[in-house]
Amino acid sequence: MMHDAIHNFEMAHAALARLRCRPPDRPSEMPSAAGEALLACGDLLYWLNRDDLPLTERKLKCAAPLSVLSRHEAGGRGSRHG
Amino acid sequence: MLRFARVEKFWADAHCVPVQSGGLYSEPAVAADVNLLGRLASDSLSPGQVGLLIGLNRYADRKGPSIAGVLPRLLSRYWPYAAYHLRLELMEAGAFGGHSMTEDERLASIAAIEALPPAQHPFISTAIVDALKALGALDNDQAEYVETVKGMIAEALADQSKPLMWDVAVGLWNGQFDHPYDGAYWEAWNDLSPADRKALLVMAAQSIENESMFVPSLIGELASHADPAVGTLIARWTGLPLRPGRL
Repeated sequence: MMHDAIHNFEMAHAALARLRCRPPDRPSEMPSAAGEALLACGDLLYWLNRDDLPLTERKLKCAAPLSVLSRHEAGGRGSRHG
Repeated sequence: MLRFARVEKFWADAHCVPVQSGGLYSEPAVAADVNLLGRLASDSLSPGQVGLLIGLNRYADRKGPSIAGVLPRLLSRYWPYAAYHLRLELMEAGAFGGHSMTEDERLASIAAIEALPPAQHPFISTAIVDALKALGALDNDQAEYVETVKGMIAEALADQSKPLMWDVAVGLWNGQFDHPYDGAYWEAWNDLSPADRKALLVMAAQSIENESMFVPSLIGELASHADPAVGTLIARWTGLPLRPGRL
């Protein structure tokens, strides 16, 4: 089920961060705007859960994924991941 | 006999607490003189009326007589013709009607539920199993099944590098949440040493058959061991989730 997969995706990002593992690898080419946005959500979950790092550094790391999610014109195209 | 036009008055008579008060579950919300169980004993009820009365019974005084006293008769009379939602209501009444149930009523309810024909709908069959579990019908079997689960765990742990055993580990994990004897799986997992428990979790995380709704709890417990080495296993779930059949 897709919603189970999304839940797994969320949990895995939070768990990797809590284990102090490096951020997950990302594809060099994004399959779609929706896929890129979903991966950006994963990145945000990761950095929000790196509670061993100073808040300033975590905020800085969140800037790039937040900029992806700010591309409203990409969302407006009705792109759908998967 | 209740008529549809009288339902509103019936609700008023039942002194149900208004939903907006936030006190729907404060109890008892149905006055004893409404005599829900006496009404349920009537031979002239429609299936809808049975559903309504069972629904109201959730808010009856829990110190009063149990619905288990009338459940066997309701099952034999209405189950063959009951629609999906009434069957769920009947099973819920069996599962949660036991607050003041006598031993005879409990055994009679179990016998009545076990006598039902096999359910075709998965949610109905799940409700039947849940009701039997709540009535304690599976307790003895479940206690015996713990040893079976422990045997499966021992077999899996003896061959930790075998992908087939990784799939077994997934089944053992999921069994804690989705199995008629889920308590047996839970007990067997909790009797493991921390090292064996972690080893079994790692095996389950390696299986490619592991995409169920129980993965998040598996990931959470794996992470709770604070071992960064398991990060490589967890990383597989950080890729883009794909819809089945799509690239």
